[in-house]
Amino acid sequence: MFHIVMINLSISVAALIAILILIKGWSKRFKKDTKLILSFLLLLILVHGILNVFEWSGMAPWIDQLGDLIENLEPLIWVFFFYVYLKEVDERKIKRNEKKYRELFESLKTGIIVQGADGEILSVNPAAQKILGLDMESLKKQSLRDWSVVFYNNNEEPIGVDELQVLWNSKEGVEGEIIGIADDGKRIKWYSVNAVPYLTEDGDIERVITSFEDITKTKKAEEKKNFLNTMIRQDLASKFSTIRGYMELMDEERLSKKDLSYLLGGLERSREVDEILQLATDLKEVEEINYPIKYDAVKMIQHAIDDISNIIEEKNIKVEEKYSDHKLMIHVDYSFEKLFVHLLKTRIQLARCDRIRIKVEEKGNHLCVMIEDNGADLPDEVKDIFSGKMYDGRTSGAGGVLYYMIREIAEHNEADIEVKTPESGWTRFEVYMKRVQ
Amino acid sequence: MMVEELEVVLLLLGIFVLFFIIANKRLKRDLPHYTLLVSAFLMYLLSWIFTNLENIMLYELLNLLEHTVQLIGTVLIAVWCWKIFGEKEGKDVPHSDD
Repeated sequence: MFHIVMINLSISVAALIAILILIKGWSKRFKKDTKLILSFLLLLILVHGILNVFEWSGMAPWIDQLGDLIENLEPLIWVFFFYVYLKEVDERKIKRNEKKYRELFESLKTGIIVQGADGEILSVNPAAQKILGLDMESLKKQSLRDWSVVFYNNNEEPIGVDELQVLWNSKEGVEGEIIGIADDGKRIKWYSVNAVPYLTEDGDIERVITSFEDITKTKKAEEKKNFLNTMIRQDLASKFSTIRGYMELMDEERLSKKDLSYLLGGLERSREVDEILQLATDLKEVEEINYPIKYDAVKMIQHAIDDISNIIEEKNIKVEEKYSDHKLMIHVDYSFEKLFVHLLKTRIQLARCDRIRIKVEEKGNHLCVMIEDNGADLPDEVKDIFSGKMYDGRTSGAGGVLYYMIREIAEHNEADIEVKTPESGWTRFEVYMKRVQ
Repeated sequence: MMVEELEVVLLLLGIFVLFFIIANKRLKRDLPHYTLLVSAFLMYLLSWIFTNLENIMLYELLNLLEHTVQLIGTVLIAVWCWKIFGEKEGKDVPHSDD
């Protein structure tokens, strides 16, 4: 019995020490609730130990039942402690995540507005405040209607806030909508706007998260590119016509054989320039059009061949075509035909091929148009154009520019071009497009 | 007899706590010095097993063992408390939000 008394005395002392440590370091760790439960558990152990001392020393044997009742509380307190601690961890994690996302929200250069179902503003990050020229308090008070800024559509026409609200508060959301915002009514800054609606179970809008990404620099660069493109095209086209006119005025009969060869060379080069100008014009047209519809791929290729039939006849090119019996539909702009026209023309005129094989195959969800010819192989830097590398036009001469523009037409229509050299030594272009039913 | 029933309930409650610990695997990751505190609990669980067994056999030995493992368990809790509240604040231990 003495051993039991001593052990229980030790238990009480150990529990008391634990309580003292806990009190001493109270401010250090854990939340108050967790610490209170732990203290209660230690207190139960302490009291149970003391009761056992009384019971086993014979001082109060009747205390046995009370001790057992207290002991029965211990597992409940243990489980309660673990449960409350896990809750504390969850809360801490939520707080940490909230802090992390708040920091991200606050530091983003992209403006973000969170709106409620009725368009009321729930939250705005500093970038959005800067874009819209208002502080958080005034934004909270006001709806979008009260903003002093002027909105513009992509064509630089002023638009009303109601028009924007309809757009943003649609259940489908908005992706990459371009709008201009002028806070002083003069300088327009351009933004790509995405609106993501979150719907309730009934399908009603609960809130909408709208983001504004500043694309003013991109828009300016595009404007500059368009300006240069137009200027160069018009300037080159006018000068080219003049040169051609002078050349045509030359009397062939009065020229020596050597001079005539120079003249023909000049005419040949000017024809290449004409090709590039034509392709640049087509490319601009392609970039401006974005109305993809369903087309019969075979018919499109046949139409492209018809378009260049005069060149085919003139150069005596043998074209072999192999198509599937059933209709193969693709979803592209009507301008996609230009890809085949320019690819064939470039191969005939630049690579000087005299035989072309065209085959259309189904490859899974894709359609592959294979255009193979016996013309000159492509230099590596031109092949790189089709592998997705950036092209700056510094190398590869006129051919590079032509192939680059062909790639651009393909990319605009979400098509891929792969260049291969089969065993026959010919050059094969594989144009992959998504098939539709 | 009343006492015995309470001891059975005690053991069942202890087993429930054990299941709770096993089911909440993240306790191992989130509770600092998990092994120490869970070992302390296991000592208590062992004592609750002994307290039930002592009514069937080897009363004196199992009774001694019951109280001894309880002592070990309490010492382990005290050590755990020292590691959490007594030592200098470590990286792995969450701070008080009070």
